[in-house]
Amino acid sequence: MNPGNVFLITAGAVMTIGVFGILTRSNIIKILLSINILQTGVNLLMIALGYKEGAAAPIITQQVTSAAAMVDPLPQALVLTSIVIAFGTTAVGLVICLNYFHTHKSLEVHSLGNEEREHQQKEVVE
Amino acid sequence: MKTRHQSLIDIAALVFLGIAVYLIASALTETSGGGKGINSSELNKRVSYRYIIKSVNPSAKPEVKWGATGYEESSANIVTSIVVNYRGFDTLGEVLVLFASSAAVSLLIRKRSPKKVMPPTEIMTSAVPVVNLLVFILGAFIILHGHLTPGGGFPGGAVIATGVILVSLVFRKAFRPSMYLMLESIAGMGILIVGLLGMVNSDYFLQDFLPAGTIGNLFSSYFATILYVLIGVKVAVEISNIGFHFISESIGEEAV
Repeated sequence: MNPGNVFLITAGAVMTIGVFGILTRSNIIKILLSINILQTGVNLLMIALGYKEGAAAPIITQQVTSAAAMVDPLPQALVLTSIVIAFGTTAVGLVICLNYFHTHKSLEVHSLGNEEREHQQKEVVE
Repeated sequence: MKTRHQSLIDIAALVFLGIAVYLIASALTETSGGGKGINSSELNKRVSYRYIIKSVNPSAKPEVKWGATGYEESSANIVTSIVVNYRGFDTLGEVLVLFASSAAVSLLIRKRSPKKVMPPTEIMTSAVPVVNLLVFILGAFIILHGHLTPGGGFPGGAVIATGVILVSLVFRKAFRPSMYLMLESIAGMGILIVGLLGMVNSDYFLQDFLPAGTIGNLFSSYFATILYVLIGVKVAVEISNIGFHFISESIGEEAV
């Protein structure tokens, strides 16, 4: 089997795991982890699309001089951007998660939407 | 917690799974030559071909020799030449996204009641200075060799940020916020100033206006090096800023 196809299938499997985790987990931290897994799968897919069998890394050396001898460098440059943006979104997501825990005392998404009722209950108690 | 929507969610997950498998299968069986990456046989039709031979001239030589001069720009690492030179505007947006996320973290984080914190142990206080020296040297090496070896401003900045966060875990008051903000502003303004200098000296914003040197020399690709140093400083400051906010989230404690 062509190694490029192995990369593609692995990327598809990782993306599927990510989508499955986002849709079926109810813990916010686990959803964030699933989003990160999905992003890793997308990165691997992009790198795999530029893969060429037997080619070297896209760095000019004394042996590697032409475009035919190296893999496609453009997806790698785009993935660099993607990784940085994944870091930023994860950091903001974690902060929102922290605030959610302060207000709900829970990390389950199912407690979202209960603020109104809790607020009314608190007023009744007071 | 099971709800009545659980079965619907499971069905949706299976549908998405099927779509993903279909997309991958169609990507595998795609054979038309076009610009499909893995299957395109014609190198000259790829965009990255022009990045590799460092010219858009149709009569340009298809090979780029190590140690040669006279190209548009002269970084041996093609990814660096794409990220910093050819798609520099993209990188500016990337840095802005990182800045926005750092600002969002410091805006959204809420102070909570102070907790008991374990003081750093003897191992931390004696090991961190030694480890940090090596970490900073490695980060500076990665940034300064961005145009020759894998790496550059973003990985190097992240390495330096880990060192800074280690220092702030052990010595709480090692960094002053004013100094930190000033460093961030200088790096951010520097990127814009370099871009505007490109506009003044050449035609476009962020265009390479410095002379290209010999491919493979440390002092060759000046524009990429200057921009990557600025990006490295900015990335290091922003990542460690996020780290500081997560470390010192109890009330009455200054971030940084």
